[in-house]
Amino acid sequence: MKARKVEMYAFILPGLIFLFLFSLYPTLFTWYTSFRDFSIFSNSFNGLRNYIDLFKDNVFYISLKNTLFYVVFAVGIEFIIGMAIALLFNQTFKGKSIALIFLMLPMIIPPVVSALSFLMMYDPTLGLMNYALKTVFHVSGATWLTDPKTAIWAVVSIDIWQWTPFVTLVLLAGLQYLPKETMEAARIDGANSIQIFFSITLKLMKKIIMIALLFRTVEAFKAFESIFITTKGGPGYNTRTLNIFAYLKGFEFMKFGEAATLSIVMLFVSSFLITVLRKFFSKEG
Amino acid sequence: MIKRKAVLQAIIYILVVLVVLLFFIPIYWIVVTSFKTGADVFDYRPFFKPILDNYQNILQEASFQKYYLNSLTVAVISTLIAMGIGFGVSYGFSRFPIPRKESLSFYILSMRMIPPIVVAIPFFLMFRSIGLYDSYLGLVLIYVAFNLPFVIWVLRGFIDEVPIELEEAAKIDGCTRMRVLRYVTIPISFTGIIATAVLCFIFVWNEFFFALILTGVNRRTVTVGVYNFIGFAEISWGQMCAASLLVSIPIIIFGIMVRKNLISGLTFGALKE
Repeated sequence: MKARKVEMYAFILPGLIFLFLFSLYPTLFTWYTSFRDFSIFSNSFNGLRNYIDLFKDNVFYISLKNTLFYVVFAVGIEFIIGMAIALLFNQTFKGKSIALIFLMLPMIIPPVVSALSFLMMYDPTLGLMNYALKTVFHVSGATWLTDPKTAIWAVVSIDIWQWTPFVTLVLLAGLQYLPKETMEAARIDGANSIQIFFSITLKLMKKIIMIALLFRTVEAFKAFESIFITTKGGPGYNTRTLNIFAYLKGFEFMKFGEAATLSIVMLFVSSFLITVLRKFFSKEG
Repeated sequence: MIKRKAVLQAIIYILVVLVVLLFFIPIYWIVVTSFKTGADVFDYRPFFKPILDNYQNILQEASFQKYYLNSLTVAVISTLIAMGIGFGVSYGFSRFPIPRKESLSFYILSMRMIPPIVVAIPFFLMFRSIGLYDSYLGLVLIYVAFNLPFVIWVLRGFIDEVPIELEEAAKIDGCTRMRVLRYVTIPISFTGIIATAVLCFIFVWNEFFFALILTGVNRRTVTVGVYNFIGFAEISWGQMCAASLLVSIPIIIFGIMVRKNLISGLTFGALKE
């Protein structure tokens, strides 16, 4: 029995020690830094100062609002479009596997490439977006990324393009497991497709829908490339999310203490989301 | 009835084509632009003389070659290490009665889900002070840590599927644990192991944030290299698109290879297809 224990530790310890050193330790270091006045010029303990300053900072609330906007609209729209496409792809048609490969591309190509292609299409004078608007609808376009009214929608659109396919594929996996008999029975009883969708499909898929939504929420909360490459949080503070704000504090202004404080706040939010996700994450799946 | 079915089928086809087109436009645009001259880039006429100049230029660019090689090196090495260490942990979790197993394993998973910024500052400061900034070793360590939780979770799913009776039978026949692993467990779960490794490679190759903050000109990876195109006063869109495509092609091939495991991988095994 003792030999078995030694064997067990031989298997798991190298990995666990590595993870401890490279995840837990830095997280603790960030905690520690969050209580310090730490920049290029200074490094001293200053208690709760960073936290107090952060909660008094107007830009923090703007970033929080933008993060919320980004997450709610990106994930919400991804769910609606994703579900519609999943229902479409749940029909039988020839060439489905090819179509699925095309649909998969946005989420596997490097996020940097996606963001750059949108940057090109959003270009106000020469981009595809304004060109299409002008030739098809005869309306003049916009300066998508620099206009405060459109900037956040422009970055949310990148997220939607990139991740709707993920939602579609998750939901499609769920749709395939729905009991056909229940659907047939409801149809014979006179229910139409819309009734079946809302009262049977959605109910039976609750768990899978939650998994899709929560995974997307956790990811959208830390979205980086879609914003950093296109607007860097601008114009003004219009697309500055918490993640971008923390990045700018830490790596543009080298205010490590303040950036750490904001990171810890983000850690709390994200831990909460992950705890919720755990409830839907049983091995029976 | 037959007529109605045909109409329905036609509608489905039209919708599918529309959806696919909509999601393909940005990629199509990259492909087309990569074959255009500087003057043609924003000329929208559908027919133009495709040129290979952008590819020739970018492939001859020494820095692009270097970044590409950096990405390849870092992705391959960190994937191999993460798979090696991760296999041990996932095998242990699958076969041994580890105390508080499920809490511990979910805790491991949450390390992967928290925002990278939470660990970015310590790594940045630490790497600067011990000389790991802009080094292969630093990047490899980061990416092993980044992929370990993923490997542990996804591989465990594949190992769980190997019947424990087979392992025990081999043991009764006198096999040591190592031989059991080599001749029973690993061969049976081999496709799963390969799929996991390919997904690891994709994650590292696509990664941008850590590469951005932890590398300088020497060990810059190719995603950061492509991003740097927009740092210049005038963006050479044609070259940027050619570079983007060259960066995406290996990932597209790998992605198609593992498409059956993609969704269960991206949800860390929460969904099995």
